[in-house]
Amino acid sequence: MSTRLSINKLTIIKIVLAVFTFIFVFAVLQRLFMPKYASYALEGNLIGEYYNSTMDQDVVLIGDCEVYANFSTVSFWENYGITSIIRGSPQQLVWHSYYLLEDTLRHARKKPQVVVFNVMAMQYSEPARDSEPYNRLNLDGMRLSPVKFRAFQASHLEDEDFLSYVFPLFRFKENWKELNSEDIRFFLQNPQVSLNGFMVRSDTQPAGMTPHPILRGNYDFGEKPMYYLEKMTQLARENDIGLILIKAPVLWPHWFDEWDEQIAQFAAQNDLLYINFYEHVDEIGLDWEKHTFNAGLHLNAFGAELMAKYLGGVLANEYNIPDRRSDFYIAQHWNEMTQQYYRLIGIQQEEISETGKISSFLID
Amino acid sequence: MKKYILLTLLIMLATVIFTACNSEPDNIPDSGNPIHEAENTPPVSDNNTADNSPGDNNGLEAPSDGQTDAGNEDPAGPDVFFLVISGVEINLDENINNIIDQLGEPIVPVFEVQSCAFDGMDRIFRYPGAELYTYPSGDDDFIHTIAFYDDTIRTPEGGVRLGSKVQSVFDTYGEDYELESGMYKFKRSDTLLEFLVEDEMVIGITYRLDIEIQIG
Repeated sequence: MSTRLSINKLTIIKIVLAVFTFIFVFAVLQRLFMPKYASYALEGNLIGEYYNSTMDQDVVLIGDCEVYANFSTVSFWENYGITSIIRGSPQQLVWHSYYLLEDTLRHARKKPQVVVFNVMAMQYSEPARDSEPYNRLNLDGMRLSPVKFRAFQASHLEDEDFLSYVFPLFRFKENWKELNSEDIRFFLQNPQVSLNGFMVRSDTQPAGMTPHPILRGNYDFGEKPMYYLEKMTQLARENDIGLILIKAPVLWPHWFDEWDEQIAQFAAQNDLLYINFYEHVDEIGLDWEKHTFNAGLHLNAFGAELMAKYLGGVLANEYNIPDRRSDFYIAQHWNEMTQQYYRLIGIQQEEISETGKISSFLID
Repeated sequence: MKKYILLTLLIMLATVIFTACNSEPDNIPDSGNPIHEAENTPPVSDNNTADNSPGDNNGLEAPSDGQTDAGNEDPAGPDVFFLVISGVEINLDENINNIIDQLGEPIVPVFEVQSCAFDGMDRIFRYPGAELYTYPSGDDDFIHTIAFYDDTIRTPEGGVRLGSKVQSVFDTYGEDYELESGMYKFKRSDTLLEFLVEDEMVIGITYRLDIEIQIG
């Protein structure tokens, strides 16, 4: 009897060990094969980097490349002592933004006082076909939670399944052919590519020819983006968070007056502030010869500094966002980040003077 | 114990291999755009190329009998929509280098923007009357959209141009279209020709690959 019991125990132990071994090896392989986004598509790290932040933020900016390239979180701090973070990602659609806001509120120990949402993606009613890579840049970095599941439900393409978002190994297994030193170097943690969501580019490509806008038959925003904009407004209201709608100033792609009117109308109906920065370019001091790194599509770091200075004034003066510079621990954290910022700018400027272009994007 | 671990690893290996055999090709961000399938040959149209130089019709209205300087001998029409500028046939999904070789450099410096998340540049080339939008694939750029910006060029089939009456669109392309908010969309294979009409007048003409491009 006791022999049989001990055999059973031994069998159970062996099974448990086998299961743990399986899980361990699976996890190692998954981590190894996942893209590290260290030398290409660096933006793939943005969503996940949010969870590394240990500080509470008073302001959260949400949206596509028009936020993570165009607003300097460091300048919010330097000029106003405002703590901020950007939850931005490439081709972030409005439903992505909504669930990123939910996710942010779920993880924040202290809710932000203001959320700033860039409305460029309102023009997109559905994801483009073949846009799965962008879906992944938006969702892969999100921590597993019911919010992530709902985000997947709202955004997945026909042939996508949630399991591949939970176990990306099944998606990226082919990467074994391209494993390189980066996969080892960044095995434990992906490289840091932003300063609280702000990606630093200090090179300049002046704006030249701007394409003519391609006219449309219908300028009405689709039901889906409107639905999620309303949900975002509701979520902010329920949490007593101020919501500001913005349109970043870019020369291209074209932002039509018809779209602008709809946003202005929505903002008025919901008692929200809407700022189309394009109307304030001179006031902000933007110069399309100096402040863009890709001919007017995105601002460079110096343009992003000006944008933060302008928006920071609105946040401080109209929303009473506090100046945290007198808080020792917060100041210590942000001052370190500020040093990292200037160090990277210095390296990039040196590269520009030596080679004419920048190759350093990672935060050390 | 070793047997159990070995068995576990074998099961894992089998799982990965099994999945490898049944899943779609990876679609992780890479240096290219998924639109183009590596081939560099443009779609072949069976239409005659034609000189369609600007300024040969001073009136706003184009001929509606289809007898423009572009040939259209096949009554069924060509397989795809294409444009002709200065005698050069421009096809969607065509390597822009083919166009530059024949038409010369664009009239203003190329508008280049780095793709948001992918390596390579999206480029827009302005030629007389139209802008050609390209996407990067490998070392080359391929046309995905052609948009008219003035009335100096016309569609090769019926001479429709900006300012033409909508009837000339129907006379040329028939009535097998999809109408969406003033936009008349004609489809041939995977190419679209769109006419935006306001007050019975064509105010926009666009050729597109039948795909959606999003920026941001």
